[in-house]
Amino acid sequence: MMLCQICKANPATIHIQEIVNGETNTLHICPECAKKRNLAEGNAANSHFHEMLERLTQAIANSADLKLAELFDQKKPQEEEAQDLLCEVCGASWHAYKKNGKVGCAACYEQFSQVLLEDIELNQHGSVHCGKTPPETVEQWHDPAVSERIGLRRELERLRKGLDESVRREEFEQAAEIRDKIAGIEAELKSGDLIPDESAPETPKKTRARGRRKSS
Amino acid sequence: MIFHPRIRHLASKGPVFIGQGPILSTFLSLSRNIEGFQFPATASTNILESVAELTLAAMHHEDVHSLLPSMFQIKHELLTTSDRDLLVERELMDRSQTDIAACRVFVCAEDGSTSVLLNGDDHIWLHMTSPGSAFRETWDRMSELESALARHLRFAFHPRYGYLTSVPALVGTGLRITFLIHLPALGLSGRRKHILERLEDAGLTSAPYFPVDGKPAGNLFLISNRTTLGEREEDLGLRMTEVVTAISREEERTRAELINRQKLLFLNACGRAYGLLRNNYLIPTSEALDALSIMKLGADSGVFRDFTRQDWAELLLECQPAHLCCRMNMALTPMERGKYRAERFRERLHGPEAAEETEPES
Repeated sequence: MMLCQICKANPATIHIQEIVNGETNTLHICPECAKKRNLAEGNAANSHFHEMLERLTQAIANSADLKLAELFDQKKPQEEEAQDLLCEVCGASWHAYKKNGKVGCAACYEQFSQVLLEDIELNQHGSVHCGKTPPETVEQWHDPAVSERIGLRRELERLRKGLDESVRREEFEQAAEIRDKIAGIEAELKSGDLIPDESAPETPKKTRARGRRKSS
Repeated sequence: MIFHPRIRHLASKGPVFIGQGPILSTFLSLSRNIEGFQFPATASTNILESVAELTLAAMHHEDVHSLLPSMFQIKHELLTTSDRDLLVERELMDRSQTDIAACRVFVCAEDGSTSVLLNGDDHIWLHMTSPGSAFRETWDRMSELESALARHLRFAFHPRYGYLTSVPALVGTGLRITFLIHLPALGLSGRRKHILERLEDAGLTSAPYFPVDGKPAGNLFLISNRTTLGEREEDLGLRMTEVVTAISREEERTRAELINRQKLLFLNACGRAYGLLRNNYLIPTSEALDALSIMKLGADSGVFRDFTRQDWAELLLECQPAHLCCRMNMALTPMERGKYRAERFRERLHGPEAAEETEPES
């Protein structure tokens, strides 16, 4: 049994090899002397560090897994909820309302009534409207020019959808026909612009064309 | 040219904030949507165009038109940023609805008392302003216009929720009542914050009219209703009038106390504000507003003999950025605005010849 080179009493259990300028020196010491000289501590610390690092990596991996799992767990019901709450009339989602505070159409109030009611009651004075009500009879669509144009626009929307469908099916002859119809309706709508601009610095035609491109 | 001729014309109209005492103005806005059409945020251009045409056709009906005989309409996209800023300064447009969006149409009465925005947050946004505390008169006018429109347009209405709006916070009456109130004395006494915070209990809310770095420049505040469902328009308006009148009385009482107890300090403050506005060559908005606030306090208390509420209200509008640009008819940098603002103050408080000497004699 080798004795410690420092105290020469205890058995040497730590062997340190040092290479200085190409020469190899070996030191055989006992743990106590190593401790005194701070020699073994480095090693011990190193091993601790490795251990720690390993544990940490493991922990990170575990927590990441956990977090991901949590996320999936949370997301699933939310997604389902959002899918459940799509307005059948305008297609607006409950999620979008939560994001920007706006609903898409009047029907959303019925469609989302279960959840919207809570929001409304929480922030309002009461839960039932009192105050002005609309008259019973309304002379709507009174202006024939306006109702005709509204009809034309609905037709336009329908035709545009048809055009997309025909292009998708590669029925190009039909698509060309629809395109001509669309151009005809667009020209008709453009010719009778009901929103004239008084002393407008730009021509209304330009702005109209811009609007069209956006919607198509 | 950075201003639409129609908007430039509006800028030449008199001021709107000339109330007697602390309550300067009453603003009412009413949101409505047309049944069967998607709300503007999600609607297609086609729908929005239909909404705009339908509403304008209704507005040109004899019975509606007779209520707004001098109205004009401009497509929103034809308004420059300066135009829209000027409309916001004149309380004809809501700051949150100034963005260019498809088929937005701005309709306005030539006297600048009524404006309508089509396809803003909602299909129709009616807005009216009156000087002083004038809920009753303004609501009567607005209700009459709304009823006339309702004879030709079917508004989206729910028996339980009332008038349906794109923002559920407005559902019910769709009515937002706002008072513009000037509270310098309560601010000095340190009680203003507490009083305004207590408005929350009454379902009301307050906000600085000119927030500059989180501080209310000019001691001007907006007090509005937070709720729209479960209370009749008239009841809400009268309740708010009572609250605002009580605050106004408290402000006046504090003013009287301030003047009685510390007359010298009060006169000193008024004199300094007058001196600052009369003798400066470069003044930023917030500094101008604070000085104007003290000038108003002085004018209300009879310190300035030849500076009336009307003068004050005119200067309050004229010192704001878009009004300055409109006056000079060009786009201005903040530095230039400071210069022309100072020039305007000197001209107003010294006489026209003072504005011309642009450099102090050295």
